[in-house]
Amino acid sequence: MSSWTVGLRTRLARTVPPGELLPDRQPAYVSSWIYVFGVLCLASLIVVIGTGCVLAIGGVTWWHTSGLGHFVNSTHLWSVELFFATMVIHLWGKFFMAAWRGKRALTWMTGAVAFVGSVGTAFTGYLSQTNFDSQWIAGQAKDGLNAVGIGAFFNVLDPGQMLLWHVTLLPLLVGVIVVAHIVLVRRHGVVPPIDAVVPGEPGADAAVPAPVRDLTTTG
Amino acid sequence: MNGSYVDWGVVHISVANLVVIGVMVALFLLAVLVPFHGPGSSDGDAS
Repeated sequence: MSSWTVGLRTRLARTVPPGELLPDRQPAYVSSWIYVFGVLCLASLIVVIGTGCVLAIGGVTWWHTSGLGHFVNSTHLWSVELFFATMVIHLWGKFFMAAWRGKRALTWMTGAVAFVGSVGTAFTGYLSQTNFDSQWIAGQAKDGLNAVGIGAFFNVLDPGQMLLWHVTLLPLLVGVIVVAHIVLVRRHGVVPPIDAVVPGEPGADAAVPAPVRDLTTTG
Repeated sequence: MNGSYVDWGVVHISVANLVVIGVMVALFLLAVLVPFHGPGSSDGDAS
Protein backbone atom coordinates (compact mmCIF):
# COMPACT_ATOMS: atom_id res chain seq x y z
CA MET A 1 0.00 0.00 0.00
CA SER A 2 1.47 3.37 -0.99
CA SER A 3 1.69 6.30 1.41
CA TRP A 4 -0.46 9.45 1.20
CA THR A 5 2.52 11.40 -0.18
CA VAL A 6 2.80 9.02 -3.13
CA GLY A 7 -0.96 9.23 -3.65
CA LEU A 8 -0.89 13.04 -3.57
CA ARG A 9 2.12 13.16 -5.88
CA THR A 10 0.43 10.84 -8.36
CA ARG A 11 -2.78 12.91 -8.17
CA LEU A 12 -0.89 16.17 -8.78
CA ALA A 13 1.07 14.65 -11.67
CA ARG A 14 -2.20 13.44 -13.22
CA THR A 15 -3.95 16.80 -12.85
CA VAL A 16 -1.92 18.54 -15.54
CA PRO A 17 -0.44 16.47 -18.40
CA PRO A 18 3.39 16.41 -18.54
CA GLY A 19 4.84 19.54 -20.18
CA GLU A 20 1.55 21.45 -20.08
CA LEU A 21 2.00 23.33 -16.78
CA LEU A 22 4.37 25.95 -18.25
CA PRO A 23 4.31 25.19 -21.98
CA ASP A 24 6.57 26.85 -24.55
CA ARG A 25 4.45 25.80 -27.52
CA GLN A 26 0.78 26.46 -28.19
CA PRO A 27 -1.69 25.53 -30.95
CA ALA A 28 -1.55 27.80 -34.01
CA TYR A 29 -4.95 29.34 -33.27
CA VAL A 30 -3.58 30.82 -30.00
CA SER A 31 -1.61 33.27 -32.16
CA SER A 32 -4.17 36.07 -31.72
CA TRP A 33 -4.30 39.23 -29.61
CA ILE A 34 -7.51 38.08 -27.94
CA TYR A 35 -5.50 35.41 -26.08
CA VAL A 36 -3.26 38.10 -24.57
CA PHE A 37 -5.92 39.48 -22.25
CA GLY A 38 -6.03 36.48 -19.92
CA VAL A 39 -2.34 36.79 -19.14
CA LEU A 40 -2.61 40.60 -18.94
CA CYS A 41 -5.30 40.07 -16.32
CA LEU A 42 -2.98 37.73 -14.41
CA ALA A 43 -0.10 40.22 -14.65
CA SER A 44 -2.37 42.98 -13.31
CA LEU A 45 -3.39 40.73 -10.41
CA ILE A 46 0.27 40.22 -9.49
CA VAL A 47 0.77 44.02 -9.39
CA VAL A 48 -2.44 44.39 -7.35
CA ILE A 49 -1.21 41.88 -4.77
CA GLY A 50 2.31 43.34 -4.70
CA THR A 51 1.16 46.93 -4.18
CA GLY A 52 -1.41 45.73 -1.66
CA CYS A 53 1.37 44.08 0.37
CA VAL A 54 3.35 47.34 0.33
CA LEU A 55 0.25 49.26 1.44
CA ALA A 56 -0.18 46.76 4.28
CA ILE A 57 3.32 47.65 5.51
CA GLY A 58 2.59 51.40 5.45
CA GLY A 59 -0.84 51.13 7.02
CA VAL A 60 -4.32 52.13 6.01
CA THR A 61 -3.81 55.90 6.35
CA TRP A 62 -0.25 55.93 4.94
CA TRP A 63 -1.38 57.26 1.57
CA HIS A 64 -2.91 60.37 3.17
CA THR A 65 0.40 61.59 4.59
CA SER A 66 3.17 60.24 2.34
CA GLY A 67 4.00 60.90 -1.30
CA LEU A 68 5.34 57.36 -1.64
CA GLY A 69 2.22 56.02 0.04
CA HIS A 70 0.05 57.99 -2.36
CA PHE A 71 2.02 56.62 -5.32
CA VAL A 72 1.69 53.02 -4.13
CA ASN A 73 -2.02 53.56 -3.43
CA SER A 74 -2.52 54.94 -6.94
CA THR A 75 -0.58 52.02 -8.44
CA HIS A 76 -2.85 49.68 -6.48
CA LEU A 77 -5.95 51.46 -7.82
CA TRP A 78 -4.85 51.58 -11.47
CA SER A 79 -3.64 47.98 -11.51
CA VAL A 80 -7.11 47.05 -10.25
CA GLU A 81 -8.65 49.09 -13.10
CA LEU A 82 -6.47 47.24 -15.61
CA PHE A 83 -7.22 43.94 -13.87
CA PHE A 84 -10.97 44.42 -14.37
CA ALA A 85 -10.74 45.87 -17.88
CA THR A 86 -8.54 43.02 -19.14
CA MET A 87 -10.64 40.44 -17.26
CA VAL A 88 -13.85 41.67 -18.92
CA ILE A 89 -12.25 41.66 -22.41
CA HIS A 90 -10.94 38.14 -21.64
CA LEU A 91 -14.52 37.23 -20.63
CA TRP A 92 -15.97 38.65 -23.87
CA GLY A 93 -13.44 36.70 -25.92
CA LYS A 94 -14.13 33.44 -24.10
CA PHE A 95 -17.90 33.98 -24.33
CA PHE A 96 -17.83 34.34 -28.12
CA MET A 97 -15.46 31.34 -28.38
CA ALA A 98 -17.96 29.29 -26.30
CA ALA A 99 -14.90 28.36 -24.26
CA TRP A 100 -16.83 25.96 -22.02
CA ARG A 101 -16.76 23.34 -24.80
CA GLY A 102 -14.71 20.13 -24.51
CA LYS A 103 -15.15 19.41 -20.76
CA ARG A 104 -14.12 22.97 -19.89
CA ALA A 105 -17.29 23.83 -17.91
CA LEU A 106 -15.40 23.96 -14.62
CA THR A 107 -12.82 26.31 -16.18
CA TRP A 108 -15.64 28.64 -17.23
CA MET A 109 -17.30 28.42 -13.78
CA THR A 110 -14.11 29.10 -11.83
CA GLY A 111 -13.53 32.13 -14.08
CA ALA A 112 -17.04 33.41 -13.36
CA VAL A 113 -16.61 32.89 -9.60
CA ALA A 114 -13.21 34.62 -9.72
CA PHE A 115 -14.90 37.59 -11.42
CA VAL A 116 -17.64 37.83 -8.76
CA GLY A 117 -15.10 37.37 -5.95
CA SER A 118 -12.94 40.10 -7.44
CA VAL A 119 -15.90 42.49 -7.52
CA GLY A 120 -16.49 41.85 -3.81
CA THR A 121 -12.81 42.37 -3.06
CA ALA A 122 -12.82 45.65 -4.98
CA PHE A 123 -15.92 46.88 -3.13
CA THR A 124 -14.28 46.25 0.25
CA GLY A 125 -11.28 48.16 -1.11
CA TYR A 126 -13.50 51.19 -1.73
CA LEU A 127 -14.61 50.87 1.91
CA SER A 128 -10.98 50.87 3.11
CA GLN A 129 -9.96 54.25 1.71
CA THR A 130 -10.35 55.95 5.12
CA ASN A 131 -11.93 59.06 3.59
CA PHE A 132 -15.35 60.60 3.04
CA ASP A 133 -15.77 58.60 -0.17
CA SER A 134 -15.58 55.32 1.73
CA GLN A 135 -18.04 56.67 4.32
CA TRP A 136 -20.48 57.64 1.56
CA ILE A 137 -20.17 54.24 -0.16
CA ALA A 138 -20.68 52.43 3.16
CA GLY A 139 -23.79 54.51 3.84
CA GLN A 140 -25.17 53.62 0.42
CA ALA A 141 -24.25 49.91 0.67
CA LYS A 142 -25.63 49.18 4.14
CA ASP A 143 -29.30 49.40 3.17
CA GLY A 144 -28.94 46.96 0.29
CA LEU A 145 -26.89 44.48 2.30
CA ASN A 146 -29.23 44.74 5.30
CA ALA A 147 -32.16 44.14 2.94
CA VAL A 148 -30.68 40.83 1.81
CA GLY A 149 -29.98 39.83 5.40
CA ILE A 150 -26.20 39.75 5.61
CA GLY A 151 -25.64 43.05 7.42
CA ALA A 152 -25.38 41.29 10.81
CA PHE A 153 -22.08 39.59 9.95
CA PHE A 154 -20.91 41.71 7.03
CA ASN A 155 -21.16 45.28 8.36
CA VAL A 156 -20.01 47.79 5.75
CA LEU A 157 -20.11 50.53 8.41
CA ASP A 158 -17.28 48.76 10.28
CA PRO A 159 -14.03 49.85 8.53
CA GLY A 160 -11.91 47.40 10.53
CA GLN A 161 -14.01 44.43 9.47
CA MET A 162 -14.09 45.58 5.83
CA LEU A 163 -10.30 46.09 5.81
CA LEU A 164 -9.70 42.57 7.11
CA TRP A 165 -12.07 41.09 4.53
CA HIS A 166 -10.23 43.13 1.89
CA VAL A 167 -6.69 42.11 2.84
CA THR A 168 -7.18 38.51 4.00
CA LEU A 169 -10.38 36.57 3.34
CA LEU A 170 -11.35 37.83 -0.11
CA PRO A 171 -7.82 37.87 -1.63
CA LEU A 172 -7.34 34.32 -0.30
CA LEU A 173 -10.61 33.26 -1.93
CA VAL A 174 -9.79 34.98 -5.22
CA GLY A 175 -6.22 33.66 -5.16
CA VAL A 176 -7.28 30.03 -4.65
CA ILE A 177 -9.94 30.29 -7.38
CA VAL A 178 -7.52 31.93 -9.83
CA VAL A 179 -4.94 29.18 -9.23
CA ALA A 180 -7.65 26.55 -9.79
CA HIS A 181 -8.71 28.38 -12.96
CA ILE A 182 -5.16 28.41 -14.35
CA VAL A 183 -4.59 24.75 -13.44
CA LEU A 184 -7.82 23.86 -15.26
CA VAL A 185 -6.75 25.89 -18.31
CA ARG A 186 -3.45 24.01 -18.40
CA ARG A 187 -5.19 20.68 -17.74
CA HIS A 188 -7.63 20.97 -20.65
CA GLY A 189 -5.63 23.30 -22.90
CA VAL A 190 -6.87 26.37 -24.74
CA VAL A 191 -10.24 25.83 -26.37
CA PRO A 192 -9.96 25.22 -30.14
CA PRO A 193 -11.95 27.30 -32.66
CA ILE A 194 -15.58 26.25 -33.03
CA ASP A 195 -15.12 24.83 -36.55
CA ALA A 196 -11.82 23.04 -35.82
CA VAL A 197 -11.56 19.25 -35.76
CA VAL A 198 -9.51 18.21 -32.73
CA PRO A 199 -7.28 15.11 -33.00
CA GLY A 200 -8.61 12.27 -30.87
CA GLU A 201 -12.18 13.59 -30.82
CA PRO A 202 -15.12 12.28 -32.89
CA GLY A 203 -14.84 13.31 -36.52
CA ALA A 204 -11.06 13.69 -36.45
CA ASP A 205 -10.48 10.60 -38.60
CA ALA A 206 -12.68 11.87 -41.41
CA ALA A 207 -11.08 13.64 -44.35
CA VAL A 208 -10.25 17.08 -43.06
CA PRO A 209 -8.89 19.91 -45.17
CA ALA A 210 -5.22 20.41 -44.42
CA PRO A 211 -5.53 24.00 -43.09
CA VAL A 212 -8.05 22.91 -40.47
CA ARG A 213 -5.90 19.96 -39.42
CA ASP A 214 -2.89 22.24 -39.21
CA LEU A 215 -4.79 24.53 -36.87
CA THR A 216 -5.38 21.69 -34.44
CA THR A 217 -1.80 20.51 -34.11
CA THR A 218 0.61 22.07 -31.65
CA GLY A 219 3.41 24.23 -32.97
CA MET B 1 -17.30 69.58 -9.11
CA ASN B 2 -20.14 67.77 -10.83
CA GLY B 3 -19.24 65.28 -13.53
CA SER B 4 -20.83 65.06 -16.98
CA TYR B 5 -23.52 62.41 -17.43
CA VAL B 6 -25.32 60.84 -20.35
CA ASP B 7 -29.05 60.16 -19.91
CA TRP B 8 -30.69 57.72 -22.32
CA GLY B 9 -34.01 56.34 -21.08
CA VAL B 10 -33.33 54.42 -17.88
CA VAL B 11 -29.59 54.56 -18.58
CA HIS B 12 -27.71 57.16 -16.54
CA ILE B 13 -23.94 56.91 -16.92
CA SER B 14 -21.00 59.25 -16.44
CA VAL B 15 -19.07 60.28 -19.55
CA ALA B 16 -15.89 58.94 -17.93
CA ASN B 17 -17.38 55.46 -17.48
CA LEU B 18 -18.85 55.55 -20.99
CA VAL B 19 -15.41 56.40 -22.43
CA VAL B 20 -13.80 53.51 -20.51
CA ILE B 21 -16.42 51.07 -21.83
CA GLY B 22 -15.91 52.43 -25.36
CA VAL B 23 -12.14 51.94 -25.10
CA MET B 24 -12.67 48.36 -23.86
CA VAL B 25 -15.00 47.54 -26.76
CA ALA B 26 -12.48 49.09 -29.19
CA LEU B 27 -9.65 47.01 -27.66
CA PHE B 28 -11.77 43.88 -27.97
CA LEU B 29 -12.51 44.54 -31.65
CA LEU B 30 -8.84 45.34 -32.35
CA ALA B 31 -7.73 42.16 -30.55
CA VAL B 32 -10.04 40.11 -32.78
CA LEU B 33 -9.25 41.87 -36.06
CA VAL B 34 -5.55 42.86 -35.88
CA PRO B 35 -3.14 40.06 -36.92
CA PHE B 36 -0.78 38.80 -34.22
CA HIS B 37 2.84 38.47 -35.33
CA GLY B 38 4.41 36.78 -32.33
CA PRO B 39 7.03 34.02 -32.12
CA GLY B 40 4.27 31.42 -32.38
CA SER B 41 2.63 32.85 -35.50
CA SER B 42 2.25 30.56 -38.48
CA ASP B 43 4.74 32.41 -40.70
CA GLY B 44 7.52 32.43 -38.11
CA ASP B 45 7.28 28.87 -36.80
CA ALA B 46 8.48 26.36 -39.34
CA SER B 47 8.67 23.37 -36.97
